[in-house]
Amino acid sequence: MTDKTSPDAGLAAGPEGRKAQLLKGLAELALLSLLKDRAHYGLEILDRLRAEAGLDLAEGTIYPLLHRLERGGLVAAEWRMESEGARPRKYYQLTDAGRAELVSQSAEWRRIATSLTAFLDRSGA
Amino acid sequence: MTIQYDEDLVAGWLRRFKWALKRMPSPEREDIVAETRAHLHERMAGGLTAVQALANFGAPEAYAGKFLDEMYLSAAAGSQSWSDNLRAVARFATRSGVAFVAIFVVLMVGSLGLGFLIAGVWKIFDPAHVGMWVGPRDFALGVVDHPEASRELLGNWMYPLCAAAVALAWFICRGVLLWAVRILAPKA
Repeated sequence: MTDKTSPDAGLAAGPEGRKAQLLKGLAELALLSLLKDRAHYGLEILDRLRAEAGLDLAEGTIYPLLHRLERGGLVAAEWRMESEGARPRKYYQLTDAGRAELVSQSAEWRRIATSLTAFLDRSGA
Repeated sequence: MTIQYDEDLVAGWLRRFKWALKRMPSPEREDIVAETRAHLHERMAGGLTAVQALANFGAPEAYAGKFLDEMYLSAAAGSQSWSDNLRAVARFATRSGVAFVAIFVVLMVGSLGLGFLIAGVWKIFDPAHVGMWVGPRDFALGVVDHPEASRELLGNWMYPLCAAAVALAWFICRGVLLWAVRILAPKA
């Protein structure tokens, strides 16, 4: 009865499940941050999050996340053809609601990270 | 030969993926399939074989399940509809402890509520056989075949009792479903 896509799954799923849950939350924040400057397409987002944010995301995790954010109005998407004969790509960009969410999640993440780091450092854990 | 084999492999995977997404509205489904196709072709253009590119996504049915999970939870999170909430929570019942408990409670409490509803309606048409009965050796709440062998305690108070029980069951089931959706949906 474990589900790597539901919030109560990590407790029962062991280290892999906990890692998946943690990654899911971090991926959303990193993705919103990545889209802050310009629009990206899915594969580009995945590769940049892996290479630059150090997130070990599975190939099939990024599109359901993008789909949820699009459905929630945090990102907007459009198909673009960059040049004649090129394959069309679906580009995602932040909406105003997405920018507000990024500010909120960033502040929350910094607050938690600061508190948790201080807590873990208290006994050298 | 290899290119044709890779194309056939991708086409077959995408067919299964699209079929697994059949519960999703058509424009959304087509969009997701087109995006996945573009992703796979780009990976293959970058040097991966079709087998390697597809392996990264896993089984098409499992991958489609992630989109459907999000769709049902999103619909439930912004909805007061019983069917939206029940469908979303039931979908997770075999994978999530929260959903399992919620469905169990809804089934138990819902059955009790339904029992009271049936008893209350039945009493309108057959008041002589429905009530709270106390006999020499037993106790019953509901319908008895031989009312002369027992004493009925509630009389017309049976109606408000049934109405209160149905309302309580309704509130408990509703609350449990909303609680489960709030926990399951990442942004509920």
